[in-house]
Amino acid sequence: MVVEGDGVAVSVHALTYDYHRRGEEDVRVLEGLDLELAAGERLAVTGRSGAGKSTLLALLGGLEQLQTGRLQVGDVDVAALDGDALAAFRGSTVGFVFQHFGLLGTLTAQENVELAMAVASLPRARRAERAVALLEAVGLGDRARHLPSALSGGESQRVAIARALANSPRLILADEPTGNLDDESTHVVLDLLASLADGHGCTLVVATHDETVASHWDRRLSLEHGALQP
Amino acid sequence: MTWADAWVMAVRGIRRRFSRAVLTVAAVTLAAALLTSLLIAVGAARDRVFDAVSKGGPLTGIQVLPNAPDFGQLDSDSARPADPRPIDDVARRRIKRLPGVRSVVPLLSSGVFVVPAPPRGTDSRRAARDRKPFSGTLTGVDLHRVGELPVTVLAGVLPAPGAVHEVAVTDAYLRRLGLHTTDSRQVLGTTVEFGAPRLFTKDQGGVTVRGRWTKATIVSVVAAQGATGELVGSLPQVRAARAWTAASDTTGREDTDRFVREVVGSSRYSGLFVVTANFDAVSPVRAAITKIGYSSSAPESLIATVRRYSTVVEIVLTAIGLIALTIAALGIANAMLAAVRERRREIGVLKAIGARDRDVRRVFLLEAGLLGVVGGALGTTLGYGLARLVGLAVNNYLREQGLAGVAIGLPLGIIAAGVVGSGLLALVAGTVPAQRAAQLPARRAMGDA
Repeated sequence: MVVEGDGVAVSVHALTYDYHRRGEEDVRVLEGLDLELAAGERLAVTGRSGAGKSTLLALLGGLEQLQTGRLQVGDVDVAALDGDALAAFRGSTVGFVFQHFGLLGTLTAQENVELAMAVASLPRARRAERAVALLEAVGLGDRARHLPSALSGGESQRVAIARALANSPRLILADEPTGNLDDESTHVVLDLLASLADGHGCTLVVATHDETVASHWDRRLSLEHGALQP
Repeated sequence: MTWADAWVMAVRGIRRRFSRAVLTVAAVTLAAALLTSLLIAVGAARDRVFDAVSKGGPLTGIQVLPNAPDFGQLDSDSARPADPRPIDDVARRRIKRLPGVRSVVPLLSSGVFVVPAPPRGTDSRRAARDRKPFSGTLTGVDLHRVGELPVTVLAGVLPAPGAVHEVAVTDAYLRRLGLHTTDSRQVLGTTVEFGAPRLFTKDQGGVTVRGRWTKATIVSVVAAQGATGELVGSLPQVRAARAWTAASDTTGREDTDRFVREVVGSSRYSGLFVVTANFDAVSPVRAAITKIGYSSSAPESLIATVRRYSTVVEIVLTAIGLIALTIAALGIANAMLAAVRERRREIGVLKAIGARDRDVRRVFLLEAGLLGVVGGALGTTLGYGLARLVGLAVNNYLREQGLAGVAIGLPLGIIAAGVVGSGLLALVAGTVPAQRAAQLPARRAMGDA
């Protein structure tokens, strides 16, 4: 077992977020959003493009500073964090899976997984061992030395999932994780995410515009007009 | 993120954009090469003129004449001798003991008749013309200590210290034959005859002159700054000539007595060449020599002027090199800014997985520093090579002009300026891009929202 984390409860209250663009009118993407997630719960957030799904995930994962509202991840008040504390929160509590995979092209699959551990200053010897185990867990033990350019889209996303799990996160946030994948790879990646989440109890939030993808998860909410609807 | 991990990231970043990195390094290399070659050139010029000065070389020399001083002479580089005053061993020792004096080299000279040898390769008509005798001066020095004198060998090797049948000739000798210093080799190996004059009173009255003739092989051509005369030989040669002339029969005749004084002088030494420990000692030593009672000359005002001029040139050349390096640093900044623009998403991913602003800043600064140091190292090497090439051309020219060549070295300070300076400048240039990268929002990981 390579993922030792357990899920974390998430509590969002009255979350409002506006995009400010110079010379343009503010665009409100989230308005008074409330959300309660139990530890280990899996949630699919659906909605059309531009509905604010990525923004919600960015706020949940500490990629964006909160403007108004309250966000509690476990016992951490995320709104109170900034700078290094927010970076530490992202590195230790959250695992991100992006639509575009977010692999560094100059690093091999194994080095990409190790990178997350390097950022967390894990000793070099432990990193290699753990990265290999994670790649084997996503079925890519034999592709560890390959650069992202030599991997298919599905393989790249599986490497990204391995990297997301590198620091035993308690919350996994996947933004359109199958958006760039064909059907076969989509199923592989979704099954992998489900099995890892089931197996290790991480809280999981998947943002997708695809209802088929959303149907993989037991709880689904739709983001419309800045708020989540059942 | 540790420094080692940041280093790996920086190296990978450079490898990923290798062509751009090569161009950036090339710009730094050229700038560092320019700076290095200019600094080396300036340093070589300083060595040629001023290190010799500061280390007590010939340029710190003071010529002491066998004359009483004119007390206004210290305002001038030229000796303004008053009445003759012999230089003896007592005076030589007093001067040697003066503070700031490194060495005192005695000079002997004697008037001689010279019958030159035709230069090699000349036809018989010209050979006959070139053998026309003239009245010249034979200067004798301790050839063991010739390094302390302002003597530069233009061709050949100096006579052996005790040799009586070898001489060096000066550019004045070449001029007598209508030759230029570039033709020095034409007189090497030829035989010159010189004769010390001696006066004899004839039985029936009147005076006759007989010469003590010596044949000597010309083994070298030298440029003797500040020295007069056509022949330079060993002390035994000149002593023998002086002794022969001094033994003239001058009894009761004022004109013959004057002739002998003019040819050999009335002093034990024809002059002294005093070398001071450094340039700053020249003035006080000259003042002390004046106080002892001898006139002296030294090119101190000239050197001071040249030193000031050289400092200005040094500043200008260094500034040119630094401007070039600054332009290269701007190139680094530009390349790094482009890299930050291209890698916004990558930077976002780094932040998404927990990297702090300073981790990102560190990676980009290391990249910039690495480009600078590599460019600086290559540039310093290239600059040294260029300086050596230029040095060869300059040395050829200097030799043609009868001057000593310059030594091209690569001092530690220049290596530090080239490598460390380039690295530091690159770090400064990389500061803005690195700061911009560090401040990019983590949200970039999800695209340009």
